[in-house]
Amino acid sequence: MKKTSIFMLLFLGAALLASLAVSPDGSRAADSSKITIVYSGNLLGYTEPCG
Amino acid sequence: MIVDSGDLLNEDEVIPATIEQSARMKAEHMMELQKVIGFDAVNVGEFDLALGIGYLKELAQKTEVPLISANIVDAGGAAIFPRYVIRNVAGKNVGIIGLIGDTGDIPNKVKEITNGEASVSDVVAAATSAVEELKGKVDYIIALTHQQANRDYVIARRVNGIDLVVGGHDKQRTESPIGVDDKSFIVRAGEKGQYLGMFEVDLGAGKSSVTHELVPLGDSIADDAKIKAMISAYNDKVFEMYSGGGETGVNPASNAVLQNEKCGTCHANHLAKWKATDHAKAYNTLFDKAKNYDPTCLACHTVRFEQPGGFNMKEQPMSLVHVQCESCHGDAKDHLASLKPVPTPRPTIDVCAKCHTSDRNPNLVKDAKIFMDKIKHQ
Repeated sequence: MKKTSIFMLLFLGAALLASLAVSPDGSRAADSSKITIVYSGNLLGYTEPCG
Repeated sequence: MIVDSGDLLNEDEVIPATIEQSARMKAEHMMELQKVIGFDAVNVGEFDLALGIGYLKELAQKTEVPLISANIVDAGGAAIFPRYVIRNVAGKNVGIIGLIGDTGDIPNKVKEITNGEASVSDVVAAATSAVEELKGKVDYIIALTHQQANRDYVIARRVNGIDLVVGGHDKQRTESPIGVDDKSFIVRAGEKGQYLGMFEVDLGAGKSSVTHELVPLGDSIADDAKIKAMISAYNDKVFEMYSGGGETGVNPASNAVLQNEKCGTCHANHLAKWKATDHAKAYNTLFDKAKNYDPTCLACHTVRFEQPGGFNMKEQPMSLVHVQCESCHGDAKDHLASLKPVPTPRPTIDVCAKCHTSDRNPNLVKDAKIFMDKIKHQ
């Protein structure tokens, strides 16, 4: 199975989400002129690829 | 703000009793991950109901993950989950409404999955009612929908007051936001967490300043240490539950006598060729990633998972690991007993597609010959 076709890398997503929502320097949280909506869908219970 | 459009917890609408315990563990694990990630609202999809409404509500309460749905209703027509939540972002109040489709097979599935405990009410009416309630309380309204992609237009067009529709349920994804009648946008992230969408509005410039990005979740994004540790802990817990005291680090399939050996009595050449294919080590790939007790993975890496005479979670029969003859050709019981033909003597690419789904192998049909040649054993 191609690595590029694997599904649900939630833990990778978490890193991205964390960087967006609570970035260490708080730049996004402090940017009161913008609303950022991060969205996902249809995860279907996967936490990481089977193999 | 972080949101999800639904179908988060289960892959199937029916959870066999034999895997219910592990399915519940996994659902709880997923919800705990969502809590740590900090989801502001999660819409309820039909598969999320597979472990029972009571259990789902209990899980939401325990993990404090805000599950919402305005039109999954009980016998009296009352919403079972909170219909919406309000969040404050950048000094603005944002209302988030949960919606599930009332067309296609979704309403019937909701009834079947919940044994009639829940049904789906009119999605436009539910959305309109929620928007009316939110008026005066919020600055913006987001609808999280779980339905066929084309139905998102109905919500965006017919329900005044919704600024953004975040859709899910199928594989459709939007590379750019779809503007609807100059009053709202539709976005979708596709399926199975392959992408995260980022939709940003500059409040100073209004809707004309929208930016959007669909981010592929590939190896270029580093693991989050806390989430990774949680997943490792979950894998260890599953191992303890099913390994029967087995030794960590030892593949239980390493010395297994496979069911295939019975086939090899007459089909020795086929068996020898099969042994050289990836199918013959399918279970090992799970073991290498500590996923060999995960029912979601075992379904495609063992023989006839949870079917009569097939691999099952309770007994963990190592004779039925990997993708063996019966995985593609069907139950060989009658063939072995009286030489009746196997159910599927010549499997087509459709059989492969049950596991090699479009998200895993997008070129399966186009490159069918290449795939078939890899497992050729005649």
